[in-house]
Amino acid sequence: MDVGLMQMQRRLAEYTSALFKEGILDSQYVQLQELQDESNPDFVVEVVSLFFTDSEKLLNDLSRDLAQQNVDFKRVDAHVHQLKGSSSSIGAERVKNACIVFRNFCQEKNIPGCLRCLQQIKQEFLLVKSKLETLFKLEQQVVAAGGSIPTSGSLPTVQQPIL
Amino acid sequence: MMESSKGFSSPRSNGFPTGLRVLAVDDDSTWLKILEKMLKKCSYEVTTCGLARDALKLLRERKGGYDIVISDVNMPDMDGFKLLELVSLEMDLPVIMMSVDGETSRVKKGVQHGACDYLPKPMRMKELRNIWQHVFRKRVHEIRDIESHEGLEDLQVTKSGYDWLDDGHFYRGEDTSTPGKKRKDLENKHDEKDLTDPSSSTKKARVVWSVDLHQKFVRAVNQIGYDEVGPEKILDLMNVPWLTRENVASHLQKYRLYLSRLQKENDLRISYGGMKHSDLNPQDAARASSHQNSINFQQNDATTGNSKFAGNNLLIQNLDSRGNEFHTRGTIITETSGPGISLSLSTLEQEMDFTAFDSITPRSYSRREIPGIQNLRRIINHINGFRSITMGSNVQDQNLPRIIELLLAIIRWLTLFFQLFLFLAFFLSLFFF
Repeated sequence: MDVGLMQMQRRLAEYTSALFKEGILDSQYVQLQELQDESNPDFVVEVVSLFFTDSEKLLNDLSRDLAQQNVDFKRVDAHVHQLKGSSSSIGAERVKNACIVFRNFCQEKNIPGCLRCLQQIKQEFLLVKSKLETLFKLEQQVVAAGGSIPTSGSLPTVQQPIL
Repeated sequence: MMESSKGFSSPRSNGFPTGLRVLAVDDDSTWLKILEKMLKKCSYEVTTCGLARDALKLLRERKGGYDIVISDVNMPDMDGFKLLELVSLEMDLPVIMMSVDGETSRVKKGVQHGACDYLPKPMRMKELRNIWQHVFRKRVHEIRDIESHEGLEDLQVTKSGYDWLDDGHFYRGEDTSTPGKKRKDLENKHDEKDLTDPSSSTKKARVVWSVDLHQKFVRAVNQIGYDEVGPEKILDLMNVPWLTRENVASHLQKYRLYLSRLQKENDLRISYGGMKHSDLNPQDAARASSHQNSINFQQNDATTGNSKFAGNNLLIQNLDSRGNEFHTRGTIITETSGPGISLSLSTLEQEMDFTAFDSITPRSYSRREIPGIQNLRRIINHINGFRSITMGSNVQDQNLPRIIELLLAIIRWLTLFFQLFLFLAFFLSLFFF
């Protein structure tokens, strides 16, 4: 089982570093990991879950607002601003970048542009969501097998269990 | 473990800055959670709030219960800048702003509204770790301000004998009254144009008492009632956010001195007016006495009016022996701080013009003119005598008659021209008919 644990840990490390390399997550996520400690072992999961809930609601609001006859761009902008803030909190870099592009279209009052952007944001959001969910599953497996989750640096080191 | 005082001592025995009581306000629940965790890791005591009004409620309920507030700029129920202003004015707490938007203009706006720091999101833990310095800095400045003011206060207390100086300055822990001292840093931040100068908080910025501001002040004083007036009541009524209690207090003192000076001069004038009655005709005396009331009335009006200067009405009556009565309205002599005098003889001039129209021939007009000039001379003598008593200086006596003589000369020439004009008109009318 130790070999299995090692393999799991390696897989986790590779997966995590890939996320960083692809720009799906940025250093803010590392910050979150650093905040996690014994007093709060599920901190990251909790925060990310909050993010998912809030963001889904925001995306629904955005879809509804853009589908209106007279689009209230101020409202739309406010929503996007909020989404930008939330995504930056967990380090969802791509989502954040998509939000920035969206805001530009919003200022130009370009509805087709906004709709396209919204699609982009939704895509990125779903991507980061699925990736993080996979990540958490892997972490759970590692923890269940008796290992510990690496926390430091953008390239998490694999902790070798003492044989 | 909430202490009521805002002293350096913290609930924990580890000492400052451990146990710093932070109130975190953010509508984004993700960020609020992260903030809470970060601040707890810095060994601070955290209270979180999702809404600005909840934050205000907490702050008001527990006065002195928090050391510092950290708030997001964009919030649904209240503008973050507004909250910032309220907190720093009402509770006099350091406020840190946060935002995803880290643009310079936003940062500037934050500082202008009184933020002691602006953190762009996402922020690092080390940035949060340093927020205690804002609390510390405020304390240091307060101590410094108190020490520098202590000498001044003793003087003021003995001079004016008013008790509006003793509150607040020596009870630092209380938040019920907001001492002007604590607002000094904020006031300086508002007054100082250069936002990047960190040493500006110890400089004293001058408040310019514009006409509008003074009007508000006077209105407030009259509303409260001159006897019961106090700087805080005035400040509340005036509703000028950037004005401090200190400003109002010093202005009130000046105002009191000014009013007492007016009162003295008014008493003097009444007594002088009584003396002069014997010179005028009996009819004049009756009319003059009825207008004495107007002097007092004018006095009060002046205090509530626009100008800061004394307004006095001096009634000048002229009676022509031919029954041509010049009823002049009062001429208002305004006392300025300078040597100049503005004497409005325009009313007299108007009267004389009317008589010019009435005349059939220019000759009869000129006959009337001379008594008019004689009366004017009498007026000038009145004024001169009057001024010499009140002003008590001889220098001005030399200048004033000259100016008045000049005016007289102008009027004389004007009337001459008018005569000529009438001549011409008369001739032309003859020519056409």
